[in-house]
Amino acid sequence: MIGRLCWKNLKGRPGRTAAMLLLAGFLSFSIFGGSLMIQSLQKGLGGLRARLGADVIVVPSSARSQFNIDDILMQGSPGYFYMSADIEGKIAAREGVERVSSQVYLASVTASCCSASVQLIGFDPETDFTIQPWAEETYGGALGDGELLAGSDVSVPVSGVMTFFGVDCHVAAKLSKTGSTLDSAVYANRATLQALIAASEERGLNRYEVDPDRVISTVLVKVAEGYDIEAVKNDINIHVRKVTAARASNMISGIAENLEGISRLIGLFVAVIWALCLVIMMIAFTLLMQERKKEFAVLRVMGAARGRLAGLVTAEAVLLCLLGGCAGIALAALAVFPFSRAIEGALGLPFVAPGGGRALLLALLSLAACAAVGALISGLSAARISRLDTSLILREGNG
Amino acid sequence: MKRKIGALDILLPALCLALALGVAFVFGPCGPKEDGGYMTCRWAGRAVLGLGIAMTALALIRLLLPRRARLGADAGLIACAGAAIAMPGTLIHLCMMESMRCRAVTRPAVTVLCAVIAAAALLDAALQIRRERQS
Amino acid sequence: MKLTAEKITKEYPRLRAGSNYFTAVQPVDFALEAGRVTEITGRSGSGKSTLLNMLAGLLTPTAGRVLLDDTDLYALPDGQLSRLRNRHIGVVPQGQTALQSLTVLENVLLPAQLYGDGKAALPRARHLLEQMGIASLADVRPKELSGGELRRMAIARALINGPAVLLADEPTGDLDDENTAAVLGLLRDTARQGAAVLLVTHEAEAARYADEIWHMEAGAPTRWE
Repeated sequence: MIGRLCWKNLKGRPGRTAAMLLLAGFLSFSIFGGSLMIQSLQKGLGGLRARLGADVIVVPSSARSQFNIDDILMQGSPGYFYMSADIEGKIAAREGVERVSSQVYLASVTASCCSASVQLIGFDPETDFTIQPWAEETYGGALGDGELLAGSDVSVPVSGVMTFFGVDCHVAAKLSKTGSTLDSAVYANRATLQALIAASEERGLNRYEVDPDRVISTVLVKVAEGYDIEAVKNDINIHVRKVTAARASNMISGIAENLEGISRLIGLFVAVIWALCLVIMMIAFTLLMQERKKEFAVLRVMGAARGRLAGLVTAEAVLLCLLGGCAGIALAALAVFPFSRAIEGALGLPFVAPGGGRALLLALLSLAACAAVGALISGLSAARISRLDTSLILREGNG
Repeated sequence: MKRKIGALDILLPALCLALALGVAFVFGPCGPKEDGGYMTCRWAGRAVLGLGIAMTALALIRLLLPRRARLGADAGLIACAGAAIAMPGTLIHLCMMESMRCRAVTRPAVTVLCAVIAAAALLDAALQIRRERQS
Repeated sequence: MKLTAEKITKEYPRLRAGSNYFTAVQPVDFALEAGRVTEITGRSGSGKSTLLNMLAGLLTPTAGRVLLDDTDLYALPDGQLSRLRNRHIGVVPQGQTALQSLTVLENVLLPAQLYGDGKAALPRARHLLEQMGIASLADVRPKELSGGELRRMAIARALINGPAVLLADEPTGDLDDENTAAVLGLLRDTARQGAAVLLVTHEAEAARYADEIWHMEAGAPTRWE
């Protein structure tokens, strides 16, 4: 009966119900949307950290003019630069270096379909310790010549073909999302990249003239246990000529700081909305219930116990908040999930939306919070209604 | 007999107009290339614009139709919404990278808006059928 | 069933200077018997409604007891008293008391649904609406009803659970002569069907329908022969 009566009461006053639903919707939209945003940013950062693998990244000094090394992971435009392959051995020989792996970069030219070129990254399967662990999440085999691993943002199907500089390459797998520009790159073994560099030079599309077999673009360094990463980085900078070494964590810390700042801002925004909506809803609901005290007196006359009346008031508030809450959660989901790539681009931060299970949990918690708000805003009204003087109220307005 | 205008009677044309205007001015696909030419995704945007205009007209005409015929209009809106969802990415190719505007903004916006239009039209049809059964 | 009041009285604390208490109802013994219409008449403010509310179990007396057969109403906890009132005491309150968000039929069914789903009461509800002459208005909202029709709906609602006692507070207030006669007639019929009916009114016409008349003045009820 209480449920049916609540529903009828809400339907019977569409304007007021809509206003309360809107407020409840704001509450759930802000908390669910805010939580989704924060979780997505944190998941993106976590994924990026996991992907990095290396302690120190070494690039040619001449490449510094092309980009800010600390932005390499979130850099918008693909780039390529080279240094002698000998440098890898020189770095490996430095004290404190446990292992090294080199990568070769190339950027494709603008394809007929798009105004964006694609970053191509070649790795050495024998020494690599960053890309292969990542690939294992989605691809169990060894990458052969002419095969590619595509980042999650590259819209090409597995077993599809991508053509660079006239060379067809087959897509063996797609990598899981990191929320960074690593997702926009394609990865191949060293032999494939060397072939592509050669093809680009043959077509006059490479700004350098290099021997593909004798160049590398970066060296990823793993520091041995017990050695200070900063010291090893400085040692490389001092003793290995024509290179610049940077700590991988520095690249992450800048991103992490921005992320923290945005998360705090979101949290503040949510708190302000909740405080405002809570106050408005409490006042509005109390006034609405006051207006209906004659109705409650009539229910009392019919034999409704005081507890039952209080239950009716609470049920109405909770129902309002749940309905509005569902709408707000649906809107927030529509705003975040389909547009997560656009959000990532706008924020310039790694952004990976949580999976279905986690999102559902957040939704349920947001809904529970809304229901709790319903119970809270009805508290004062429920207490008053349960204590009303029936005879006095029925006499009011009747002379 | 003058018909009472309900919330869905206003919502449907408004949403269709939002689709047309949105794809033209707000969430349209990628701009021209450096050489001034257009990418494939532009035509997906134009196709959605055309569908959006047609859907707006259909939603307005629907207001003038008798009750039974309005069900047909609702069915038409649902079909057009489905076609509009299929335009970017399925029927007309988009750019290769997920980070490109056509994939990151246009396709999700068209999908969400058209899904809402289809849901509203479906709800209107269901309410009409229920009213028919009750009377 | 018999509703009996033993020396019930109601006093309210007074804030003004002079006496500390205002006596709304002087101590009185009162009884309502099945099959009879008892009328309480008197001017506005004489304490009629206060007495009715105490008999209905809605207003705790300052002293005295109200017994439904052997059950002391005000000795019961609120939950039990509410259930008892719902089952055995029907009240037609003063003024317009329909719930606007429900139809006429839903209003009438409401007391039957407070402690159950009310499905079993549906035939009785339709029968009562038929009896009250408002069966055609079953699916209509209260705001479309006239004063007389609303009052009849209130009587039907009060009778839905087949109460042993029916208490009507000014049931003919602001009704025209035709509707007044119709409502009083319905209350008379209810008594004929076995209920104990209390009619609180200042309508002179009501005397024709009553088996027993009490007059209240300044809180003191006096039985008229």
